[in-house]
Amino acid sequence: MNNHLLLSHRWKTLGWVLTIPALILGLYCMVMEVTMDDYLQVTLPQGLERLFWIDQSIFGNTQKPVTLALLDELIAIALLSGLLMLAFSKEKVEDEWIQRVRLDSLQWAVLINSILLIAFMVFTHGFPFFNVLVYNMFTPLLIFVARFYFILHIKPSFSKN
Amino acid sequence: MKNNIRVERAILNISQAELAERVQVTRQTINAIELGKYSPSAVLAMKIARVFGKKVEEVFELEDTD
Repeated sequence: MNNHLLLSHRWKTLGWVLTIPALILGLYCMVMEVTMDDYLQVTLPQGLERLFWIDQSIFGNTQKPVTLALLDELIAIALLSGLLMLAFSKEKVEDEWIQRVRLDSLQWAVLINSILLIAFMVFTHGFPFFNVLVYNMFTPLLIFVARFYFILHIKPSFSKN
Repeated sequence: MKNNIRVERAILNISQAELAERVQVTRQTINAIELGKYSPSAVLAMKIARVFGKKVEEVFELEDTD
């Protein structure tokens, strides 16, 4: 069974290498409320800021040149691309049952994520909802990967047949 | 869909893993089919029947709920 949207199996290793540190670092920064704006600062050359969509008022001044802090972007991009590699690379033996588990897991992830999001919409108001949205950028893929790997690799070890 | 893969495996004296290897799927797939949790595609059903030297209908059987 051929699925042309899947990456080859070797992308999984890079997926883990990106996901685990980015997940730990990201959660640490979110939970400990680390101010990420202090790290990896890059000053844009004059004129280049026109290429970016920047709300300068949040930087406290409208002076040029503009300085960006790239740590949060770096963590988010590493986490998203790592999770994508884990979610959409082939297993060693890719067969029709695995394709079914993949589709099931995708449906599970969308369903659980939507239920959680609705619950948080009801119970979270004001600025804390921004945090919900930050987590929500990653939860669909996180739930998908967790469920997919649980069915494929963890559940069989409970029920040896 | 019912099947008697477990019986046929016993006759040939092959494990789930060996059958899986012969039809180029994972052991979990054979396990899921044996437990009735997954209905294989027509291609896979035919491959499995061929390993046992039987017709598909002799290995797989439709149930009233199918």
